[in-house]
Amino acid sequence: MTRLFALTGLATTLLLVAGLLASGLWPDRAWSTQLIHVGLLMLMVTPITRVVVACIGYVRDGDRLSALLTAAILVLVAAGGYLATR
Amino acid sequence: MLTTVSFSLMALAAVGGVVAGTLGGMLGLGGGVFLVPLLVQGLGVPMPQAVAVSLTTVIATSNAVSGAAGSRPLINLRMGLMLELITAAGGLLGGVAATLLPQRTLMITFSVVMTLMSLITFLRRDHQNALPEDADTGPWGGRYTDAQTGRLVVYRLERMPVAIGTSFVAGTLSTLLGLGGGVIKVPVLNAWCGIPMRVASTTSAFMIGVTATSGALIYFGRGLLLPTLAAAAVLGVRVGSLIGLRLARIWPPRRLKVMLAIVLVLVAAVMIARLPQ
Repeated sequence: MTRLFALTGLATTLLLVAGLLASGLWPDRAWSTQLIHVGLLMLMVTPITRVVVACIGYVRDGDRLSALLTAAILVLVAAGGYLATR
Repeated sequence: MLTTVSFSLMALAAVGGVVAGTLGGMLGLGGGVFLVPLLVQGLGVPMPQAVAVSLTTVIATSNAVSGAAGSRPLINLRMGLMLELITAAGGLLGGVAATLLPQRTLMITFSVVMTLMSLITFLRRDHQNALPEDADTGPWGGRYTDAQTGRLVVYRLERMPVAIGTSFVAGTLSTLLGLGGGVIKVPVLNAWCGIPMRVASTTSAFMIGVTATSGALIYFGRGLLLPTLAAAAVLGVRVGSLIGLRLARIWPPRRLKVMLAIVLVLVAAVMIARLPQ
């Protein structure tokens, strides 16, 4: 899992660099901005993915308190996002 | 709203990202308190777009610190999550209080508190939060091997009411003033609650990313995130966090605390400079 997160970080950086270069070279092409969008989205979902992975790990280990805390954080983040879009 | 981003604006955002990343890697701060004024007052970026970029860089800092091999043993996820829940509750109160309290009063209060914290951090720069190796860490403590000294560091969360109260206040002020909570939580956890500087800053860096995510996704969904500006700032953060993490590893905690004290004073100064008339 650690390696997966490292690869995601690398992929994010490469997408952002490629997107920036493409935006400079071909400013009127939509795909150059889309590359950056994909990179930014990957970046944004990473912390939550880490919490989800931690939650699964705690459930597997039988650590109920930590599992409950991680689940509560996920609910709060989701609720915050939902309320802010209303 | 800004629709096109010049090369010079991107370059300056990248430099801002380097500073934010260095602070994040070194001290566990998001750097938004510096980046937002730089973008708004320095570079003329409208506030919502500046906040969107700032939140994205906070996540980038968090990812860089959380993903670094040397940081993982330092993140106390259990403690971080518990305090984060309380921070979120404080954030809800902040949402209510925002309509009741004048922002100018809040900003002045915050600046005074930051200055006092800076003083306390500086005065307690030689204080070590390490217990004997066989000590009980309690439910929220932990142990790690210090990369600099090679020694096992054992710690315990002490003065729980202070940690809880600070997290609550951090959440309230985050909502009221648009800050990350790290700038409040890191010095208090270190100075009063028995948490070693490296653990407080790394755990804070992890948690600020979780906090910033929902806000960043909302700005992104509403089309307020300028992709090229955010990309430049994020790449700057990648570079800055490498510098910050390296400094955090090789600098003794004493020097990190002095650095934190300086940053806190600067934060207070920035806040005073941004006071609404």
